[in-house]
Amino acid sequence: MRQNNPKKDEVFYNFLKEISNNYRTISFIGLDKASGKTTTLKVFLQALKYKRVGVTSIGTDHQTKNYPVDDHCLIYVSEGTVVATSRNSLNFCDTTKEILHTTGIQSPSGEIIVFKAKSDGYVFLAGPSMIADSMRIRDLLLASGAEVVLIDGALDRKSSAFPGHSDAIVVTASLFWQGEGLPQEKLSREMEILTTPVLEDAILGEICLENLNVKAPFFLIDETRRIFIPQESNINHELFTTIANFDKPIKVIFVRGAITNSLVSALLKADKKITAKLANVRIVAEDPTKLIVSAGSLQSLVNQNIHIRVLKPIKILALSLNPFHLGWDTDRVIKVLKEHAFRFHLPVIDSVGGLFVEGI
Amino acid sequence: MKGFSREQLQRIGFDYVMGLVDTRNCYGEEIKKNVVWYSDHDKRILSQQIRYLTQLIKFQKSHPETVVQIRNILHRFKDIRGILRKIEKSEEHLDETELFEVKNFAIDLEYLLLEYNKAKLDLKTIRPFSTRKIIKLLNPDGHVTRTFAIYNTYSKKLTALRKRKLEIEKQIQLCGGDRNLLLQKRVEITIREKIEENLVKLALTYKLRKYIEKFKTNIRFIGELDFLLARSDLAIRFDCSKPVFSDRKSIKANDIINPYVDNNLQNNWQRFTPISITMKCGANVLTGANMGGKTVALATITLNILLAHCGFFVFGKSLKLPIFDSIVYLSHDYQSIELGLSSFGAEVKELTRLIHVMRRERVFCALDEFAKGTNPEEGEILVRAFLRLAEQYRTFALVSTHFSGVLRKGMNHFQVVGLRNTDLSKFSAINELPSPGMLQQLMDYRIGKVGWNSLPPREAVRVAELMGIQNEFLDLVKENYQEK
Repeated sequence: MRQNNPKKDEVFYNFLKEISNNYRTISFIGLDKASGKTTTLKVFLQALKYKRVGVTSIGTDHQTKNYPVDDHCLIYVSEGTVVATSRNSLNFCDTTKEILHTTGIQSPSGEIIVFKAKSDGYVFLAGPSMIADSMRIRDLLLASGAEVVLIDGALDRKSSAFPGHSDAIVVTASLFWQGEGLPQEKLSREMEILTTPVLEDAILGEICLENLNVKAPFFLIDETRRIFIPQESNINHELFTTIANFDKPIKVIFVRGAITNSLVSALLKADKKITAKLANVRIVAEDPTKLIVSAGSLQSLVNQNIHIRVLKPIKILALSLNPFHLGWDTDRVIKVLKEHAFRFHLPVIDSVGGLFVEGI
Repeated sequence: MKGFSREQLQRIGFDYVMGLVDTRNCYGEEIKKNVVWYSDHDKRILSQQIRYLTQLIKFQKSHPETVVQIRNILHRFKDIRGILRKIEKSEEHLDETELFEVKNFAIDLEYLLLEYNKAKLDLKTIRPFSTRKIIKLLNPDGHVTRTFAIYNTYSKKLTALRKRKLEIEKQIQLCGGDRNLLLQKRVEITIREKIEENLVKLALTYKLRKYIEKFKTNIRFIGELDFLLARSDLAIRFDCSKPVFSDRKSIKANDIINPYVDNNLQNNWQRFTPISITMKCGANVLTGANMGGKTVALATITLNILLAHCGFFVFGKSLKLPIFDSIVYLSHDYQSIELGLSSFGAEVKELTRLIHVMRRERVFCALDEFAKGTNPEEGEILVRAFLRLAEQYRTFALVSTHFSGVLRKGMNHFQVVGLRNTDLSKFSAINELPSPGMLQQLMDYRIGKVGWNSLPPREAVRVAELMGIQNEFLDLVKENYQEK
């Protein structure tokens, strides 16, 4: 943390301590490469060093047996921290280790091992790749005495934001975006998806939750709250036939898996008879991680009066930005942080410089 | 398994039964996968296996809570055979995780022995070793925990290094002094700590080497106990009976069933008709209507005889049998496409093998419609010849057939009751043809002994008629009958 902003540091640490009291599992989701996931996690670890912290990751960006480890990949943890990492990664951990569990969960770099750091030191995280396994590891870390578990997400693994996996997330993004399009556009779109509103009608939401495990790829709920579940079928083929033949006004179309670009473009290209029936209909996904849509798709749907909603929202604790490569001075960074805090109504962290702006 | 192909084991229901055997760990699972049957030569081991199983079933019924406890402990054992190989190789030391696995194995084994001794089971073939010394070695501080670390107690030098490292880490935390210099010092001391830790691991690996044989014995014990308990669970769940290995003159089966067929029938709301049969040494011929269950009867008898020889209890009320040297099952659809043989060619090949063992050994063989694939005249002659051969040797041959001229005076002749006692006139009168499922319900699958000269039933046309074959075809069949 920067030494020339002591007041801001204090506010920041108080903020972190407060959230760690309210949330037991926090995931770090990176929107692009070098977005500062691990750096942000290090900042959190530093602030929470007086708590019993559990730490792991979803996969790793270096998943080969002989991956090179640079200092950036290593995380300095305090004594008492409970760590879940792969067997091969243990060689890169220089804390004194007390092995607590061998989990039987395999990763590309070996079985996931849970150990307690008996001294301060560096650890290298390489957790399980699958969400279900990660949830088991999370439970094991909590059962091993961790008061709060921090999960470092792998690149482009938004699935770790799944609400059943972590209580809350921290979104990290680089202001120096190397991919296509402007970083701001990508950030806005991703934030829009991650903050997709919850279905307004609580009773309809309950009906959807009760039927989450049906085998059909979608189901409809009419205005009398009667549910129609089709036979197992291909969503794109059957959805439009079902809508066309449905004789009552539709309130909700629940899509069990992912809402994809192909589904959205099919909805946008549907004939007028179907589009008319879709006016004011809520297309519902389980949670925002199921929305795999490209830029502009959501807006196009809204323009046609079709709205996407979710059943389980994602709690975003903060936005962490990495302005490192831009060479800005402090004032300019603070200005950008404030702009983002205002735009997304979230606390914003400068993961490298340690600056912090509370949510506006 | 000796003498059986995978297809044969699957067909008689042996694979299905193995699927029901619920082992708890990799050691029991491996014994299950490589299950063997004991011949007359190993009758002492077979008797032992049956005796242990009897003891365990009795104990399980009277002390279910102890058995649940044993089962839970068995579930905890992980595969440490790779670690043992590493210890044996003596090229490198174990790491913390491997020492952790060894420690937990040793702790779980002590828990297992505690419960096992309560059960007062005496598996004399394998005597497990106590692992207290290993537990003590991996818990140098006295207090037994399941976690593992390279404890300070192992080395004074390590204790000193760690103390120094802790001091530096405290300084780093307080940001006292030059941080980079402190971090550098920490790196240096961490390297020395690692070297010392490796020396401790090397010493521990060396000390563990002398327990290798005991570990291996314990692994065998865990596997045997696991497999035994899984067999005991199965016997209790299906109310199985202890096989009785008695005289060498007859096989007496009372209400035995085939769980594989029974399960398929239960899915269609039907029940398996238990089979009772008394076979003598020599030729035993089974005849009966088509769809009368001859194939199922042969599979059921073979399955239970095989299970008894593997040290299992049998599915049914009782089974008295001799201990055989060979068990053979030949089914008519046996084909060896890989070898370029027709079904008849493959049958002859198997028969050659069978006759070879019949000369030397006590054999049980079940032949399902042997020589069905060749012309009926020659087929009948072949079956007749085989039955005469079976009479000469110490062979229990159970042969199902439709051939009428194969029986000779003195041979055992069994017949499926079939449709003999069923009044079928009402179906043809009202033209309500029963479905194959209904036909199964009308069929009496019981097996009865009949005279050697009783003719095999001729119900094929009737069955075809009842199954709804076209009248055009039936008229031609009847025409042919009249001509004959």
